[in-house]
Amino acid sequence: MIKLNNISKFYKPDVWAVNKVSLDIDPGEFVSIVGQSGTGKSTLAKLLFAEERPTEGTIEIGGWDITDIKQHEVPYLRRQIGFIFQDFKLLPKKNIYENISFAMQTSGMDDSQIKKVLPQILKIVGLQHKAERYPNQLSGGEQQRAAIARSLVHQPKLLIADEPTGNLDSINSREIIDLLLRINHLNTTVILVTHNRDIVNSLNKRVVTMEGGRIISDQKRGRYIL
Amino acid sequence: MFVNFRRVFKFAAQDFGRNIWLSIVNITILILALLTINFLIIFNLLTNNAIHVIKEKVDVSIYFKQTITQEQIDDLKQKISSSQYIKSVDYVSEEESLENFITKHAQDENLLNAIEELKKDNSSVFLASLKIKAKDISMYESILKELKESQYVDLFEIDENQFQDYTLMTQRLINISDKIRLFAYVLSGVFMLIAFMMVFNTIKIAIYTHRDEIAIMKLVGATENFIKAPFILNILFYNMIALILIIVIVYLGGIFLQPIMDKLFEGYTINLISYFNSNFIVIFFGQLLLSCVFSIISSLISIKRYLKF
Repeated sequence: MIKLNNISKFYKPDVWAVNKVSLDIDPGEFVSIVGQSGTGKSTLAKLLFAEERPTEGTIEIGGWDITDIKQHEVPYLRRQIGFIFQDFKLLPKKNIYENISFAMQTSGMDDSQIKKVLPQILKIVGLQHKAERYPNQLSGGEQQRAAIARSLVHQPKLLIADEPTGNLDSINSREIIDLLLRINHLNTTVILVTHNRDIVNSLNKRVVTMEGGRIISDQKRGRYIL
Repeated sequence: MFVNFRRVFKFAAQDFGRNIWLSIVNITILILALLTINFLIIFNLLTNNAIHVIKEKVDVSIYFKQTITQEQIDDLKQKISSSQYIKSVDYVSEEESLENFITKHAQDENLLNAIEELKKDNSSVFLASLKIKAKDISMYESILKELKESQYVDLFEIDENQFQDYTLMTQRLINISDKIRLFAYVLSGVFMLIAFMMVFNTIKIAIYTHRDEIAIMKLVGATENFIKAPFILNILFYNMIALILIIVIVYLGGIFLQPIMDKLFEGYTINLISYFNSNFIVIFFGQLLLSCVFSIISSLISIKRYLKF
């Protein structure tokens, strides 16, 4: 599914945010990438959805070599990957229905299909009664659920969650993680970037630990070791 | 294609309404820029009209000696009229000259009494004359030359004073207006530059305020054109609304200015509304085209940096 081969990312003047990282992730896996702040976890995530380009090495997703992906190909890659972020990244001037439908409209999905699929997705994340609300009218947990709903509209084979619980309390965090687990059970590969020890330890899934831009540990059923 | 266009139109309309203050600021700046252009158009119109008025007043009169016969007058008039430089030749008889003089000086009793005394002596108070107007002020020199070389030169006198006065005045006016026009062009250039900078910066700020949204749109897989199109469409909305408002402002301004212009250019006034009516397409669609092209270029430049994937 995902093949990172000797990936490095250099930032001027002298920072190797990711340094010679190789990693294989199989379809349907749930992988937590952990480490302290500034260890290169988020940079690794950015490399996966082509927000950054690697300085060295190659990246392959589902057989597609995205190492030197062209500008005009990036939107098509992103429609095949779901993302969620710590700051939710919802469009503030659009309501939840519009935020999610926007993602569907980008790929040219027709209105009847959107009307059919979108309520089902809203139901999955429990926001069917709050579709008309704007992001600032929702709690952090609800906003994150809306972001997850948006990430699911293209039925992605890969979901990248970069610190999805960073702005949430423990109850909301648990809800989000449960949602990610449910999505993973539907055979979607989930990459969870986090430094939340409790969550990682409760998952009993694969844990990749990073330090100084390198992978220092990769455990099939791991724990937060730092 | 149609679905995408409909969506882009919808997004643009939504953005317009949901960022109403930003939209109002953009439209206001565009109105100010267009107002500058229209002010310059009116200024040029007034300057040209002032020069035209003075030029129209210039003429040359030749006064016939009493010995001249009517046939000679007719012959001379015909010859002068056939000249390539001449716009019009009007014969003014002795009686008409007298009547004109009396009408002009009806308030001056001394002058009128003097005229009466002269009439009692059966003296000829005024001479018959030809009032000659050239096609262009620059042609008077050639006309005078032709007249002085005419076979009837001994039968008339040329009154060059009025011509010289007006020529001098026109020359001065042209000099002044040339300087004013040069100043106006420089000023217009500066104002247009300021207006364009204002429009450019306003659009830049408008796009800057949308930078997070643009980043999110990119993240969810929107293509460059799908992101850009609503912005461009909104810019077109702004320009069209600004144009409609500027038309209203210009016409209201025209109605307000017309009485002032009528006083200023007595008898030679220009009708601003008629001028804008007859040049409506060139003036207003020209402005729409100019402002649309400029603001679209501005927005494309401004948005480019946020569209890099």
